[in-house]
Amino acid sequence: MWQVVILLILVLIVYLPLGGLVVKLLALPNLLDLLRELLSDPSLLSALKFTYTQALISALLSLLVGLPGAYFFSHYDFKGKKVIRNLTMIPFILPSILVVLAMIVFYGQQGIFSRVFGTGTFIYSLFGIIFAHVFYNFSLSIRIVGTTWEKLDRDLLESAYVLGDSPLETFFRVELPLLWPSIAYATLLSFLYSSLSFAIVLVFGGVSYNTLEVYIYTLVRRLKLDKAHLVAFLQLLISFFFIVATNRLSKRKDSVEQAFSVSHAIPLKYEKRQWIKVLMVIYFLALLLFFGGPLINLAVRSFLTRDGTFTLQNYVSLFSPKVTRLLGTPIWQVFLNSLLLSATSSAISVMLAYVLARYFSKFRPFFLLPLGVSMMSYGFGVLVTLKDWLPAPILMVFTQVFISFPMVYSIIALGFEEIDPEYHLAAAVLGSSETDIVRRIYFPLLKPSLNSAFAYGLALSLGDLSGVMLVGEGRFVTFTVALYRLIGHYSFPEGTALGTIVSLLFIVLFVLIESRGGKKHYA
Amino acid sequence: MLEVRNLQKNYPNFSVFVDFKLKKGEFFSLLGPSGCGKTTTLRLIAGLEKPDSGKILLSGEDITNLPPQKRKFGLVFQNYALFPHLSVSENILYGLSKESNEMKKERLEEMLELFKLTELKDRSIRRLSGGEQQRVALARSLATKPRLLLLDEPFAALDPSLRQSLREELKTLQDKLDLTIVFVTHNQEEALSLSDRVALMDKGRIVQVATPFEIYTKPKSDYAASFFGQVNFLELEVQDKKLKWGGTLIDIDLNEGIYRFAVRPEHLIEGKGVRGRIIRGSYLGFAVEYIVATSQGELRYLELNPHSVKCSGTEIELSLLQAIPVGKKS
Repeated sequence: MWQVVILLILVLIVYLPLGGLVVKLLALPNLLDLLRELLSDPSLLSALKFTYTQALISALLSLLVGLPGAYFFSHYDFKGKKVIRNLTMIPFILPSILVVLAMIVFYGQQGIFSRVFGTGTFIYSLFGIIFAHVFYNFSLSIRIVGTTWEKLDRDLLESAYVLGDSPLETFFRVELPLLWPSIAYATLLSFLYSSLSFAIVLVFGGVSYNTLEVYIYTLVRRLKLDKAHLVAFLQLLISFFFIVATNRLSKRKDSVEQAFSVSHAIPLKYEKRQWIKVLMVIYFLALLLFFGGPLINLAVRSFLTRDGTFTLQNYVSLFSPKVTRLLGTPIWQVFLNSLLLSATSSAISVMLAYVLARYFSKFRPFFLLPLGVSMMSYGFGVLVTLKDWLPAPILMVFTQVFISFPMVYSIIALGFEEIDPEYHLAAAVLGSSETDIVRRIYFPLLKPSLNSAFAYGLALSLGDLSGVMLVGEGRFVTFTVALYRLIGHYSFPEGTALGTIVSLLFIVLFVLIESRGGKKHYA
Repeated sequence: MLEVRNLQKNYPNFSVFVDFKLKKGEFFSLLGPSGCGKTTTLRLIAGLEKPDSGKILLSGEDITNLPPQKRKFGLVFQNYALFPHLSVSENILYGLSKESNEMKKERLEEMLELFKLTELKDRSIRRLSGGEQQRVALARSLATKPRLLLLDEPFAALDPSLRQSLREELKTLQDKLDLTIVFVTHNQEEALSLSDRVALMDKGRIVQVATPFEIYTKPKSDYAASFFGQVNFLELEVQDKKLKWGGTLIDIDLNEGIYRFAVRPEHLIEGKGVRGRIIRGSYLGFAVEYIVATSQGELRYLELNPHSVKCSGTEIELSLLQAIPVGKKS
């Protein structure tokens, strides 16, 4: 019975606000007028158009940048492969506002890249936005397509060779058709994430570029709440469509992978030709320069004065009254806020997910549904549904549970899947009680998954800007809000210092996630 | 027809060295435990691995450096490697993509009929049973009319009951199409029942090539003797062309000395010879296998057509029908 209560808590946190968003919208007295007005509003149309055009371009470019990596990782063994592969995954979990900061410091007007290559700055533009999205998403295609490619049965290719096909013909007749679902899935996922982008567009888009997320946020700030409500609903509808499509592709990808035989205990590795080695080095160096550069530069710059001499001043001045005034909160409070909020919400997500994965495994798709739902739509739902009933700190926790739950759930659910149900029976026959079984069987076996899930939940929650800004209404300052404000006030020295601290924190989280087997869950 | 001449492939801790010839229409098996190099040999013949030295000749033509695409061989993998995104017909037609439509149609019909796949022709590969998959895999490799058919453990993934009937089908097929086949297996029964000749492999080398009858009855080594079922190894004395077996003497064409012999359990029979006492008997249906303690050590003895199962402790005397010399002691 208590399990149902847990289910109801999840429904309250995740689904009630979404339902409330829809119900309250239908209750608006002037809905039709509002709709008519909105649909003829050029600003909405341009936001719509921009959101999905840039998402499409970002997704295709992410694929293009990721594919060579997917090929190299799946076909060749080389020294440091594991480390390099893990490094390429780091951008994906970093908070987007941190990526923004790193890009400004590297590619901006005063950035080292622009000075060395004389490019001037190009980031406050459509190109900058797309570049940041590619930075974010290219590792998705490396991981998703690379995994399928690696599993792809070498026997299939060799069969094609023996039947007379050249390697190129085999690529088009065998490999591509089998990789296709994974390629489409990775691309659609990048598309979905890019279309929901908030921080990157907020900073780089200026007044000219709006995604729907930014558009909704701006409407709320201007107190055009009815209009914001309608757009939030619209966004929910559209993303729902993409989520369904993504789930379908994900299933197709899985079924293709299952069709490959698992008999290849020793995967056949291809011999590296000289020119392949050269291409590989060029590719990874390019990734290091364009994507690693901003992050390395951020850390280095945090220890330098404007003249380039070593200093700790940037870190010290995080505690200065000037920064406190600028952030609206002392920096220690920012740390406390962030850690408290993310730890609480991630812990709640883990507990919910544990119970739901154990007792409601059939509802799995239902639990994973929020994975691609817009934070603005959900956040707005929280505001119209729960704001009068619950205090703001609790609502903040709700938004963070909303962000972390689906991923946390999928890690833990997979952990459960890997436990043979006969262990339970065996323990029961040996005389263990139900609580005994949980303590002695499930907990030890699930511990790696639980740890990994908790770390992932922390990372997702710490990286959130939109939920905190919308529901916290600017009074609750976390790392991401602080970074956003430092960028807004051009306080880059302190920004690099805080950014470096946050990066380190994320790298630690990343190591925790990876070492505990959470790597299957990027998709 | 196929000549594999001093073919060598080196790996860090392992090497394969093989040398054999195949006649047209022959069913030739490479037999050995896993890791003995039989699959590597097959892959070398297919062109999927490059040899470090040696030659492969096909009807006199040197094909050692010919890529697999140009060899025109058929190859069936252990797990069939059917293309999961294609239907049954599309799989069968895969190797004919450069042929005319008429040819394709004709070949497809021929193969569908030959392998009784007509009703399944539009089926997805994923919805086929193991036996059906194997038929499609064979059809796909034969549709191109290969000069040589290479089979890598094609029965390993199937139920034992299905294996028997598919084995017979393969044999019929070979006779019908006059196929030359190289067959890789670790199953001695399969090798014996299907092959014209068997090459027994161990640690990357061929230890004996012979007909099934010969390799079973005249193994040249302990390894070859014990590969085909249980065997007793005994050291026995030969004098004046006679083998001493307990109180009896058996004619044998060997010089004087002490030899090591392999004696199969079914080559012992109750009668005058060596006395012993039964330690244990296991009933196998068609036979009873006894472990008998004798002056020669513990012997395995198979009684065919048993009338009853003898109790442990029963006294018994065994005479020797046949002993295979596998080495000279002195």
